[in-house]
Amino acid sequence: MSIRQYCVDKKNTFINRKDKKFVFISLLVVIAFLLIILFTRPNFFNARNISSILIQCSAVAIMAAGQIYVMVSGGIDLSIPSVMMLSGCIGALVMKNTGSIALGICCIFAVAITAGLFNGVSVAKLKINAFVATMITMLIANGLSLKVTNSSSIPIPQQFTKLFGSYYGPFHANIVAMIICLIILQFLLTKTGFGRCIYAIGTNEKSAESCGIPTSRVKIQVYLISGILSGIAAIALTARLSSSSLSLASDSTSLDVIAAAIIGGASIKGGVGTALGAFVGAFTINGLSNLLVLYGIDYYTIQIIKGFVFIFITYFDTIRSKARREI
Amino acid sequence: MQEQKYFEAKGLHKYFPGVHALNDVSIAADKGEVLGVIGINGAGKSTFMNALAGEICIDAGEYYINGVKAEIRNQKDSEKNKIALIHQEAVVFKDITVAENIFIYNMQKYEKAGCLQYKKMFKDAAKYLEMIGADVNPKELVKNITVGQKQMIEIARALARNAEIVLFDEPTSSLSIEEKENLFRIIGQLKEQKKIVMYITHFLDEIIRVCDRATVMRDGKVVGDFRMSEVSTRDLITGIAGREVETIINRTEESNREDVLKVENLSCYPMVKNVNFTAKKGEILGLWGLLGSGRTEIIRSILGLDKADGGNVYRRHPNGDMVKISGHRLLEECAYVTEDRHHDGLFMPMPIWKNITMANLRKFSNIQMNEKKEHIYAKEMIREMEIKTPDENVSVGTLSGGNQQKVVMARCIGKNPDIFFIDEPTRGVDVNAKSFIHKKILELAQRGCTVVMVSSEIEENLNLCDRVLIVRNGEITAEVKKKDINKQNLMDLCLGIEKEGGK
Repeated sequence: MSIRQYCVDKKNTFINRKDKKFVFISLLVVIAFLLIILFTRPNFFNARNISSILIQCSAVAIMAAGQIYVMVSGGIDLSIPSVMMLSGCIGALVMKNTGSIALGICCIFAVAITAGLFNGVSVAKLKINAFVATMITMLIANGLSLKVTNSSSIPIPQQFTKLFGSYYGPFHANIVAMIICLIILQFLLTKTGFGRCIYAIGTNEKSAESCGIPTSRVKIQVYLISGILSGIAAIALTARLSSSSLSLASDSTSLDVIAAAIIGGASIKGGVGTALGAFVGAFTINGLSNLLVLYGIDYYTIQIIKGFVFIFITYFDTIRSKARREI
Repeated sequence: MQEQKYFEAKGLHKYFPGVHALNDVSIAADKGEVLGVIGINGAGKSTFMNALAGEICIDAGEYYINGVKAEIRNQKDSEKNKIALIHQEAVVFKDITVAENIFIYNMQKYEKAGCLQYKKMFKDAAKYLEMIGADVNPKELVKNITVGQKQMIEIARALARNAEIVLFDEPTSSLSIEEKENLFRIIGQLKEQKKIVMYITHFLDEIIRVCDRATVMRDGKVVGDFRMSEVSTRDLITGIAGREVETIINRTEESNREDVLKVENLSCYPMVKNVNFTAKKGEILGLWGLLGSGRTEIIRSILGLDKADGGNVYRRHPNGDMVKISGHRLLEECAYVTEDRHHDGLFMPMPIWKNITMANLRKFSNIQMNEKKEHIYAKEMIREMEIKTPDENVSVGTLSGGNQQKVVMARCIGKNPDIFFIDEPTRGVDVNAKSFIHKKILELAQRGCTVVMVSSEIEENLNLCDRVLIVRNGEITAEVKKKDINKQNLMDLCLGIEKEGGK
């Protein structure tokens, strides 16, 4: 091979050799693990298990899609699971006290939209750092949920569960919701002008501004979408669990959502990612948890293992963005 | 056998994807020599400098320093061989002092029992600053000093590291006139101290001014080597471009035209103070002033990118009335070429076609974006603007400066507005691209578009503008008509020397 070819090839991949080796080895490790699983826990691959993973991952996937929108625009939304929990709890309370499902759903969305707008305005108009702004929202939402529920679990009307948490034909309502959401979101992000604007803002906000893109408006819309998706996730999750409580969002859910977004191809630095990636990410994470349970590992150990896996995955993001920068 | 030079680079090769950036480049220089390296964008000048500075590693070739073969693979090697690069935008740390910035590379020298000996550091810093005659207080925080002074820091840093070979990468692009003079004086001093100076620039007058010798590069090759004493500007231009370039463009005399844009009492704290002007149809209106005089800020506040504190902007409605318009609306309806394409112009990792259609998304979308149409359109613009690229899917970041600037222009021209705001149309752009962009701007005016242009290059104002407004301290202090536009006049007015010929 001539120098020229060598250099061009080396450059074209935009990944340096050390990183390439890392990617290659980790791929081998993943394949090795899959083989081990295939022989030791063949149950993992049966249709029922996969279907249960899909049901479990749908709420995370819907939230992760919102996260991906925010991340593509160059921000981050830590408040998604908390907003989801808060809207779920308030919705459940309203349904319990008024008996009206419609009113409950309205309340869920009202809370989710308010939170989304709050985030959007803080970030886009008040120019507060996205990390800080959404963390504040997270704290407020957590506090409010604690207050309204008194840390107790609130039951959900049977009808609601039937409507949003049961099977339609072979598909669970959650899966249907996930598929519909992701298709719409994917279209919006990758095919429309609005989506193009989000990518532009994430790539270079100043350039986007000088092109006449209304950056603040788009950013508010992005956080709004993320809020609305939290609401949808709240409906899916409360319906599946048939109750609303603080356990809707565990400590790790926030990390799950971000990790799912990154595994799905979004970058903390903004400008890349697609909505369908949310499914890939959420499925991977829930698959991992499911698998560890199959091996009889307890909840706390699972958290630890997941933590390490996330570090590993975030390193991939570093490699990816480095490769993009070198272009 | 040729005489031994202090520095020799022999047969350098460097490949980038799809580009042979350095092709058998051999350059030599002797102590006490100022060598200019010139060529169009993408000729390989910057690649050569970056290779010497150890920022990129060459693929083949050898360096000899003082007759000994030297390896330059990274910044450390470069430092060991006493090479220092003065960056185009000075690499400095804003929140620490000048002295700390100078010694940032060898801080441990001033460390004693884990503490920094500031007294000694300030004293040494003052010594190096004095050596280059820079009037900078070593205790000052870097965020409080000017661009030119930041560059002084870099030069002092190079001296502190004992550099024998000092590389300048377009050092004057963001300097004021006085700062430029100062820089030339320092280069003269370096020469006296028997250092090798290599100097990249697009400005031929600077080359003629400071260099002893100039090496011309084109398409990654060295195509010529001129002694400055025996060469004319014309020869240099021809050498750089590889063909004759028409530099002087004639404009037809202005006639009575209708107003298209009117700015009234616009102010935006702190840089824009009570600005009033009108721009006419088919006119190229220059805003001329020193760096930091508020030229860019005026445009930004007209377009609502900086929120104005007061004042109105009016734009001609098709029915002939002047209608008040908000900055955002104006930004949507007109085209804006920003000062710095890296910072707020282009989307570097994105492909060319996305960059070209970005200001004009509505044209290509119904419910969804019509990507096919975008591609066809981008191809058309690439052809029209003569952008050198394999196809429209290449990411803009890989293009050379001139081609990047053409992409920005393509985006604006494609929007087909009747008002253009162009800030620094040709900064960091080679001769060929420059004359092309000038031609395009003139075409726009001929077509009846209004162009409001900011340029630091006096020639550009002379050749293109129909009328020049002088900006000083955020105010418009004078207006110069076409017949009065000349170098002396513009210089005097922007420096505040009042003479006849002003308003």
